[in-house]
Amino acid sequence: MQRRDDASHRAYAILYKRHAPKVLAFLATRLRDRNVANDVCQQVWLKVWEKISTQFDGRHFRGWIFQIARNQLIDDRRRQRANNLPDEFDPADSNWDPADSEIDDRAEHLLPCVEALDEDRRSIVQFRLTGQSFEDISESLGIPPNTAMTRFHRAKDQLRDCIERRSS
Amino acid sequence: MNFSVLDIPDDDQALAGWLERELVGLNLANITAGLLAFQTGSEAAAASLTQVLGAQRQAVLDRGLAALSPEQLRSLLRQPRLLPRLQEELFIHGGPHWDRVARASEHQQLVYRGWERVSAGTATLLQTQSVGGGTPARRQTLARFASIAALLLLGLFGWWQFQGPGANRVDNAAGDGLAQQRPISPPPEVPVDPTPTVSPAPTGWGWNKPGALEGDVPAADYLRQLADGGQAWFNKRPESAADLKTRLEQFRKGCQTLIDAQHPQLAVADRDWLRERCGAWAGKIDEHIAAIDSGADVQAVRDAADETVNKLVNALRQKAETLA
Repeated sequence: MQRRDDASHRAYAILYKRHAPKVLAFLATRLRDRNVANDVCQQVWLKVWEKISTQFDGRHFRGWIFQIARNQLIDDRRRQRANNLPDEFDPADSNWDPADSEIDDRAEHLLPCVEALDEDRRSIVQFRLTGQSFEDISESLGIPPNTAMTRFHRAKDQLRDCIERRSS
Repeated sequence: MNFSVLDIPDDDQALAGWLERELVGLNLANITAGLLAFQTGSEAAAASLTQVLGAQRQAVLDRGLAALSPEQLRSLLRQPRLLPRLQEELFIHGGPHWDRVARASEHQQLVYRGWERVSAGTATLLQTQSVGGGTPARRQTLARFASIAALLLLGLFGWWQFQGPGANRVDNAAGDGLAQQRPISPPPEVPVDPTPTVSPAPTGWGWNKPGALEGDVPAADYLRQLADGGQAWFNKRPESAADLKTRLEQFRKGCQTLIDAQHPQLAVADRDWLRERCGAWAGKIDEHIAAIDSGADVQAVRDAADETVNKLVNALRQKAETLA
């Protein structure tokens, strides 16, 4: 039995190596803290070890493990927030994505810095974040590309200073 | 929280590669939040992921975001809430292309540290079971062993299917396109323990044969030389599990030699290509070794290993033709 356990463990290590980076990225997108995401990731993998022989139907391993990750996230939210779950929370709804509330919280934190930008700088950043090049922006706004670039880089510095101040 | 989204590249070519790295990385929530914070109401019109990807959905899963038009990429940026959904989709259904997108070293380190704790956790669970002992514990051990071994063998089979000549060519093309956008320092190999043990000293065949990686020759000839080195796998046909494992470990060691070598005969982009492919081949060899350890049939594993070696030798020869 010991030999079988060792062999299972070695094979399990291969599965971990192949899929754990994805599971961790999935969780980090949906949780505030990377260390918490890492803890939850470990819980997911322990569940895989415990349940693979009884609950995995042998068909789609990735689908199964990401379902475990989702359930683990829901459990984690329940523990963390108890009576403070987001209004839209519905664990039965497969379209509900815990990323939404996490991202809203982060965007809200960034918003005062965005609002502090003057109109010129803000519109250039908006253009850039929809994939427009400086050439495109200069055409749209009727300014030289270098001016667009300079304003963008000043906006970038201002935003980074602002978020640093807010985080400290 | 940060404004790392402001590092968005300035040209369409680089945009797909940048977004791919963010999709597989740990920073996607910040990227998405940054995009959202700059949205005006008019840009927030909702479309589903299916609508944005359109007929390219499968191509994105197989070959990455290079399959999308610039306008489709911009649609994703204009509707950032689709990004986490796309991430989940490609993690569950994406092809091997997505495993090869470079991840930051912090990501790799977290995965590595996670393994130490997961491994300790499984050991504790095993101890608890063995204290309980009896038939149910033995049955669970056997069932787990059967499930994991079957998964690995299925994984090998899936990989053969993916590596058909057409898929291979398309995949390499997408990989080359992204090679220039990779971070300067490659992510470290995650040392998953227990790794298959590698025999102490290379026995000097294949890529570990003295002089195998030397010679002031043109790039195409050098790649043909490497293909010949890989072909040496077929010089011995091990019959027992122990012999096959030793042979695989020696071959694996040769893969590592290729990954670590400087390859001055090749241009930078071709070196990147070679190292990337070597990494994928080494991973496959590790899986063959694990299959042997799991008690899989020797003949089946040797056939699978032959297939892997044939693929890599062909890939080297095809690449040589493009450089000739």
